[in-house]
Amino acid sequence: MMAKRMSAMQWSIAPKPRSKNGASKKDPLLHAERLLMERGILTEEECRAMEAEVQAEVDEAVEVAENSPEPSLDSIFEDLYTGEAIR
Amino acid sequence: MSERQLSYREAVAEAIAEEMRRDPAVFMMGEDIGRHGGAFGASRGLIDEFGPQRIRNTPISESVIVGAGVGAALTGMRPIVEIMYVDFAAMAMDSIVNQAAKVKYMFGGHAKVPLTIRSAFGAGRGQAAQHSQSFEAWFNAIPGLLLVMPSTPYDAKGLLKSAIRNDNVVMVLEHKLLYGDVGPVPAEEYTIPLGKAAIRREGQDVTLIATSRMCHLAASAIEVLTEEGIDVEFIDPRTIKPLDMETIAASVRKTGRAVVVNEGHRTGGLTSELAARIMDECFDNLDAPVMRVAAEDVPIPYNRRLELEVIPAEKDILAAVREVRG
Repeated sequence: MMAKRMSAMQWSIAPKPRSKNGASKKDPLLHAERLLMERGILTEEECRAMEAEVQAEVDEAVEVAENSPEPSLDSIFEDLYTGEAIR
Repeated sequence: MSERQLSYREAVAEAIAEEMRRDPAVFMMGEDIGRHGGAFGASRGLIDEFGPQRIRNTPISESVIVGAGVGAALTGMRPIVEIMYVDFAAMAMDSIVNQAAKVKYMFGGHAKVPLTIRSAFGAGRGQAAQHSQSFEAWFNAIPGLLLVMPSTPYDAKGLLKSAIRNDNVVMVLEHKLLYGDVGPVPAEEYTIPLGKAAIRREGQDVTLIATSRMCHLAASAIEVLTEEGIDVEFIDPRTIKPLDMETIAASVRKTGRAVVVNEGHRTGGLTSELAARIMDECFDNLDAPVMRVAAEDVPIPYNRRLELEVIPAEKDILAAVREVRG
């Protein structure tokens, strides 16, 4: 819930870019995928399977985050220094 | 006739436009400031009037943006450079601290750097530790830099115009939660001199000094305190360097009590400096220790609740004023 409330869309105040100038077609991830398939290193099925695997991992992480309790206010001092907390 | 209303971001854009019309040496550089209009919309429309020669998009390199600004200023231009997030001024600190701030001094006054560095700062948007910081204490600690922190659209325009016309390096820090704020901005031209504080409310009991967005929390706290019968004098310094210590000291001599509020960290922060300055000049008039309201000494957390816990809140201002009141 928190993630939704603080999403980038919510806070987006700049105008949307008018044109992507084909940037989405030049996405290096998609480019790498095409290249690997062209060269026969990766099949379409392997690619989609990998995609599904990663998507499932991300979905699970989101679900865990959304269903986790809010951190305690005291936790603001955690993980800042190694060893004893310094204030 | 009702007063004209502008948003903070429109006030910033109008100040830049007016100064660019007035002086052909003024131009602007920054990331996505052209067609996109800036990450916070503060340069919307400028490229339509002034074109890409004077509204210059740059690569994502803050050290280049400020370094090129210093060079252009040295050769007679009056650049306005935008650092999208003040957090990334860290990438440009060599240009700001070792070049911009020192060139005039080290060349025996034979050079000047009329450079305006604008940047968005501050927490409250859930953008985590690298996009939420308040570095004003860093800049204030460097001799050779002026520092401005407008809290209203009116001040944003008037102070920026003065900054652009100033022959020094002026850091203008704009709080990212203020860009959408709307307030009266007259259509007639005006400037606000650097180094002049605004007394937002006169009072007899406690002097409350707050900067930038903290002014809005302070204003809301004052409503509660007034109900409680505490008569607060409220000062917005507007310019941090030069600091209008005359106005601040006169107020503290009258009230004998002071609370200072700033969104930066407590340690070595702006509140430390303000409290020390008040003690330097008003020690004999103080009836209570100066109280500081500042951010905890931890990075700004991503989690909304923790973020609000770390930065000063209205309740912290209320507690501090009640405590100095005794």
